[in-house]
Amino acid sequence: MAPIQILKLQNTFKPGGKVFEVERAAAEHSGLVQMLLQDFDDSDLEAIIPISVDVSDKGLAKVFEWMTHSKDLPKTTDDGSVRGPDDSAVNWKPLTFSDWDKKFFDALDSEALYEILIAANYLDIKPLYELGCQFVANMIRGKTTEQIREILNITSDFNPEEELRIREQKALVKDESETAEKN
Amino acid sequence: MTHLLTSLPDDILFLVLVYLDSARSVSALSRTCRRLHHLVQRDGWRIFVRNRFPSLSAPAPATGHLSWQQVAESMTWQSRCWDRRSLQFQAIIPHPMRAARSGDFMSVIDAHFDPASQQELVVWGAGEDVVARYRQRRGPGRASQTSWHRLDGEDLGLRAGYDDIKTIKIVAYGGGLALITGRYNGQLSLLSADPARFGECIAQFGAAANPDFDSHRASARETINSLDVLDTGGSRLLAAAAESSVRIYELPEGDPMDTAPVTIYDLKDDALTSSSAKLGRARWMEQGASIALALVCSKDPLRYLSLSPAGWSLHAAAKSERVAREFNISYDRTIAPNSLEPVYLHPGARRGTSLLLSAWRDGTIRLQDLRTPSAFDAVYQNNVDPGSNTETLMAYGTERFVAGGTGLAIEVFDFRWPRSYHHTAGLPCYGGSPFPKPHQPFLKPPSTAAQGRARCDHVRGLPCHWHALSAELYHRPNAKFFLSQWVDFYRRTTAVWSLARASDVSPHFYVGVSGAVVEACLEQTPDSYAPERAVVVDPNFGFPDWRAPPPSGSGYWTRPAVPALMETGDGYSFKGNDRSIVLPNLLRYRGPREWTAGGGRLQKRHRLDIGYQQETDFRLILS
Repeated sequence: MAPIQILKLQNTFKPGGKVFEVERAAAEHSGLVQMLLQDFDDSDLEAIIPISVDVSDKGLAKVFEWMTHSKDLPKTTDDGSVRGPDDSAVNWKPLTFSDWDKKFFDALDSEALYEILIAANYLDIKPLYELGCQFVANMIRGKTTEQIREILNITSDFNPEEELRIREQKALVKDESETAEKN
Repeated sequence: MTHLLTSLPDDILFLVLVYLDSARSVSALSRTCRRLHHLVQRDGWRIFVRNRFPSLSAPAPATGHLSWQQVAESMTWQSRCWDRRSLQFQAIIPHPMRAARSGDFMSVIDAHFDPASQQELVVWGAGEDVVARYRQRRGPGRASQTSWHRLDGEDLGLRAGYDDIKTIKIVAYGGGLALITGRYNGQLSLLSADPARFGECIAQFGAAANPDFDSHRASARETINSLDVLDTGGSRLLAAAAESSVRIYELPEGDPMDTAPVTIYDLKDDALTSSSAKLGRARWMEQGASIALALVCSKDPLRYLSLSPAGWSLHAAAKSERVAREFNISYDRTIAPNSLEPVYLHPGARRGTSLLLSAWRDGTIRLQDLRTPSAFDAVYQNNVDPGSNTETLMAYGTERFVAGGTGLAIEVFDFRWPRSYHHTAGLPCYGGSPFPKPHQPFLKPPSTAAQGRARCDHVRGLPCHWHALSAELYHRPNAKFFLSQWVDFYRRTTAVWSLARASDVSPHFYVGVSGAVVEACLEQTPDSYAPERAVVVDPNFGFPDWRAPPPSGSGYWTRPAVPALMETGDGYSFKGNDRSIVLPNLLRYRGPREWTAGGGRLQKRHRLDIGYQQETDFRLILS
């Protein structure tokens, strides 16, 4: 029997999740799916693969759209990408977004963007996860606190005393913010 | 449910933080709400430091009094000082009476900083004497506590010249600090650095495995040319370069006793065939798996010892055809034996490296992987004075390295690798070019797609004109600081023999010159006139009173050494390097002046420290 080429995935986080059919080559971007593929025979794969993540079907559809478009890109494995928030660090360079990636991310509202981050994290899709985080970081770069609150829909929950204390701390990062303020 | 940025799990937000390229952005994010504030304080600044300065060893704040935010503040501040050439100097000179006795010794230095006690120790060999200065930070507005100590060689019957200190190293010992000194006369000693018993001998290191043979062997009197200590967490190993052998000792702990080498690698038979051939320096590499060697008067001047189960074996350093062709160099040259300097790509536990910088007598500074040719291999050279010889090198991770040699000057080289942090990222956008125009004899100006763009559009990946160009190497040429003003006063010829600093995050470093020591400090020229209250040194690691004169009785006095700056170019070596070029301007440091007061908008954008700014630099921009 030829190996299964279409995988069926369903989010069981809430009842009634849609069954997505995803090409195997696309689904292999996911570390989680790679792991499942190793553990199961092909006969098991004809059944629906349940996943469970707090993301709507709309959000998942976007994730699978990215995976399907990027199915020919090299897949990262566990020992691949090392850029992590832990103490290990590598020489940093910004990720490059392809034109398609740019359009893809540009078209997302913030709800969809966060859902993609959650899903990419859960499914362990390194390139999408990193692009997404870089995209959020790009929205923050060079912005003031008030601008960030507005763009990312953050409500300040500081009480007046905390607000004052934080304003004082601001002076600490003196090299940059002090300069920025003056201008 | 609706997701908000603030409801995302920590590990997603961590990765967002990884991509923030300025402290200003991290700080702005932390002030948006409680959750993000807490997250940034707890983890954000650490993530920022680790990712923006991946090659530098930052002290873990757990061991000191500093928060990660303060470490981030210092590292960004220091990076800006380095980039804007905000570096000041002060000469520490022996009193004339003493100077006459010890003559023009070649000062060798080491420095140490303990983050917990905020105490710095600097030691140097001044002829047959050893001099030490302890200096402790005591918080903002309070003077540092300083004490000077001296081991007088004359008291021990040591003679100037013959018994001079050739190499010196600070090591932790018995809960405090100790010094290891190597002398011309072959003496290798562990001395107390305890202020109360400074200079007392703790142990002597013998030349042979069996001390009975010591006195009969000529090698016992061989000059100790270099010392290097390997700290693997367990035992500490000392590699001493005698003239004809490498000796490895285990550093004694507890009870003082004289120590014999655990290994002697004799180079007489296989490497030092000519009678004038000598071992100049030995440095631990690859966490103790190898030792880099600089040999004088030898066909392969750069070699290494490699440790295998069968013991140590000697190899010539790798030679790269690509490098020889690309940079037009020959491997058949003479090495500057003092110059060997390992280059670390990572801090902390993974500090092992096989990358080594070395200076050669053809004016080149070579970076190479000892074992195999690597993509990192490159050759650097002063573009203005390609023949100038470098004697000693000091690298700060993969960020930059400092070179010193002929003449009283130091040069700051860029490694020319992509950097994770540019201080310009924290400044607002601008549609103009960085100014003043740099002097670049060979590098072509970069073309930019950001032509005239006034604002960065990060979401679309489009930087503004100024941010795009400021990060380019073209606008960050290497710089040479000349300190000769002080020499004119002092009337002697001089050279730089050694460079030392306490740590990667120390804003002070020390330059060993003929007959004196020069302290260098990252210090920003204030934008106020006159500048009494401005903070101009690193707020967390710097000593604001670093210019304070030594106490009487120390045998030393100080004198500011005002720098003059020359921008020398991109620093790559290549075939056409010897052709004549227009000599770049020598910018004399002038300090704050009336017209520089107030910190105009454009002043912040000037590529150089306020002390080097000239009114004409701005006229060209504004016209």
